[in-house]
Amino acid sequence: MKKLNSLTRGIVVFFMLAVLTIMEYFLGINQVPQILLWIIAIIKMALVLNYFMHFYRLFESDERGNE
Amino acid sequence: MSSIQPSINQIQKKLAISRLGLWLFFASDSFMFGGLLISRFYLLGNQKIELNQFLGLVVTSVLLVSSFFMNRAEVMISRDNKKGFLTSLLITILLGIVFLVGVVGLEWRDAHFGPADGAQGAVFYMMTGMHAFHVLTGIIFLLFVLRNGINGKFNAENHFMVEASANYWHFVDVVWIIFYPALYLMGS
Amino acid sequence: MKRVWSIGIIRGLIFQLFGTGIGVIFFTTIRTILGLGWKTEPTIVVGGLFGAIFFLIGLGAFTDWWRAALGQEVLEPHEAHKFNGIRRYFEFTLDHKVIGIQYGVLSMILLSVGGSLALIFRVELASSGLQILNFVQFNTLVGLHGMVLIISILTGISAVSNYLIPLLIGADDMAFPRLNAFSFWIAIPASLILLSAMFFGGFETGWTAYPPLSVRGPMGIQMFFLGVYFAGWSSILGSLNLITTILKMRSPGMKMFRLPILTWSVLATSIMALTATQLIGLSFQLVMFERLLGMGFFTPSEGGNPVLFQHLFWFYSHPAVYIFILPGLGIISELLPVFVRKPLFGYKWVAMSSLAIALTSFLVWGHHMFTAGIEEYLRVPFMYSTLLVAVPTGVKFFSWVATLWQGKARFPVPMLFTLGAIIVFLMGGLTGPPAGTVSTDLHLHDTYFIVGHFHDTMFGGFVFPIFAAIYYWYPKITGRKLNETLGKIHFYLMTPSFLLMTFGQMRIGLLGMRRRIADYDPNLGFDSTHLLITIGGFLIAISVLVFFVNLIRSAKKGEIAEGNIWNSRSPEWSLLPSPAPINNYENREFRVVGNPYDYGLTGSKYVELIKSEEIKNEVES
Repeated sequence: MKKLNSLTRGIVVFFMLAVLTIMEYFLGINQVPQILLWIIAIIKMALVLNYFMHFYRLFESDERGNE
Repeated sequence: MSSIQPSINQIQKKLAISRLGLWLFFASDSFMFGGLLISRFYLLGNQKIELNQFLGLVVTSVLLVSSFFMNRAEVMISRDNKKGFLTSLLITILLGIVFLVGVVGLEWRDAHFGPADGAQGAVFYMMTGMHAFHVLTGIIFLLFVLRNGINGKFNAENHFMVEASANYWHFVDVVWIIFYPALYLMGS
Repeated sequence: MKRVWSIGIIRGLIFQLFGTGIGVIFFTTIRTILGLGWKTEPTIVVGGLFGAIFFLIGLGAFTDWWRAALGQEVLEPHEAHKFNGIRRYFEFTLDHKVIGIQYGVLSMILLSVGGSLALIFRVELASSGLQILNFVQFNTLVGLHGMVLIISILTGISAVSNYLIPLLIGADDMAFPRLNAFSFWIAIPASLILLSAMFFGGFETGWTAYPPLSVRGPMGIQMFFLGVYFAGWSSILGSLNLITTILKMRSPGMKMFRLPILTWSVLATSIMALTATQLIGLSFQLVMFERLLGMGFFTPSEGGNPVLFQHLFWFYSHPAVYIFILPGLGIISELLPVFVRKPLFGYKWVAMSSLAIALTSFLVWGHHMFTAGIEEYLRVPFMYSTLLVAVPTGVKFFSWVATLWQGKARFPVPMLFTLGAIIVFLMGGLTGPPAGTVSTDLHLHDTYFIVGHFHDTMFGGFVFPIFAAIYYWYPKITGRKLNETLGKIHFYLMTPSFLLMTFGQMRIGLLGMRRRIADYDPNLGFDSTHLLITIGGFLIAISVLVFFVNLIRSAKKGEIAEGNIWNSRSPEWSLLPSPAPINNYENREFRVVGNPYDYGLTGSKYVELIKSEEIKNEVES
């Protein structure tokens, strides 16, 4: 994932999110245990936080930052 | 007025400060959304809210795609591709408006209960309403970004405003990522 | 007229008045268009909302942000000192010292308002039977006394932290000066809206606003909700600012374990205020919406549950009491070493105990609800987590006692108030565990024992320390010392009368006096104790009056304070002249080379000035 350039990475992440959402939908209408839905939601949240919101930037040192 | 050019270090420091402030705001706001989520499970428990599943999936996808384009816009501006930035940003805003219309215009009309119809209605309208309010403010921020982008105020080095609004937009998306299953899918 | 108009606060107030009118007209028009008639309650809510926003617009709080949003240049904060002298205290100014004083003045005004409200209902309670108030008036006064003083405390700790934190850590201002000013100024319309609840029929719930009573009672409760909501934003944004400042803007060499101890407690407080405050906002908002739109969150017949409100409400309102006391405890730890000339005992433990209190505070809210019908199995865990809070608090007490031990104590007024705070807070602390233990709480819940306990913690954790802080840092603000004799009168009048008041409250509480009731049975024999409590309350009021006289008198006539009058090691006393210069440490940049509280260690240094050549090198590199 790190090696991809940031545009391609965005597309890959998006596809992962899309697949997870569709999975979630089918699991949801088929009455599976709630915990599965929670796990998927948390994976999706982690993906967005890391790849879209760049949570790690918060911990970059003050002197250098910004890709 | 002193007109000393701020050094690179100072700019970086300011950026780090602004980022921390922004994330603290997210932390604070997520407690509010967390409170709403807890209210949903406290009041409704394992009860499923009867909603239009198809519409739910559509608005969720729309918000997800808008988040993708928002990320694309941010990457574009960090590479100084102003045209690509503006196009992606415009698509993001339009998708955001589609989401609002989908939730407030269609879903609210479509639901067979109103806000005053018991705990179910109260929870549903409060959660979607609060989220829609955040989407609305996000769209307003993005419109400001669009205006400034058209006027050429951003470049690869200087675009914290884009980063901040993008992060806000993704934050709203994250909230929906949790709210969508909680409202539409969970329970029986 | 033009001169008056140019004063920010007056412009803001006029705008608020007009804004409220515009909101009312706007809302009525919409209702008329939709074919609905006049309805007072939503109209005043919209009016209040518009009024607060217009206040800020009129003041000019949004001007710079609007320009920045449009991509125009805005001045750097340190260039934007537009006003001088007394004038700047009435304007939207960015200097953290000015904002700190503005907060302080607002806090003292609210303190007197809230205190006076208490005096009114204390007169009513001084003897059984109804004398001067009816039930709704009594309930409104009790509720407003609580909430007005909560906002007074919130603004008071903001005053201390705004004025001191940048000075203590050597920053030139807060991280976000405009946000800082914004969070102060939003507290003014908030207080006005809150107080206006009196004129919209009052409310009956006390400060906790529990549904179902708050869903049904008079509509003053809406103004109460709206006021608290805005004050909550003030608190949230202020703490956001403080956390960022503390984490990012320290002087070179100031590692986290070399921070002045007050900074640690402000950090811990801010973490709580930043996150938990959202939930009181949310809970009040839900009741507001239930009243306005009929959303059935808390009405059992609609499928709602009133206990949910209590969960959301106490998730803030219990951490809130730690928000109130932690800065005060920080002030005690900050001042004690100065006056006993000894290192603070167990610095790291005290610093960590603040964080520990902050983290534990999120787990204890249920102890307010032992009698509210929460699930039985929740009672014992909440009891244990509640008692756990005593551990970090105990760490602080051990540290204070060990610091005092064999110290060379001096007893000027700030030290007196510090010691008073320790004693009063000890009383509050010792009466806490009985209230947090399920078996005893079932008896004590909603009695005057709780009132006594709570006032002990608030006075010990906030009122005494903030008076200590004012006596201690007043010379840094004005360049003149407060009068010692008046200060001693203040202290020796306030402390015994306060103890009289709370011991009286605890006594009748144990005997079964319920709180929040206007009348009681004379056969219970509480009349004489109630009279004593009322007398105690009035004596406190008189002593605070003495303090106000002192504040105003000493600003002009006080003894001039030159240099490091308390012989303190912290940078604002050892490096800066009094009053503190407008640009803080400009040309006096310092670096931290030692531990903050090594009093009495020969040759140890906390801060040293960075020589000007070194600064030049740093800028060039």
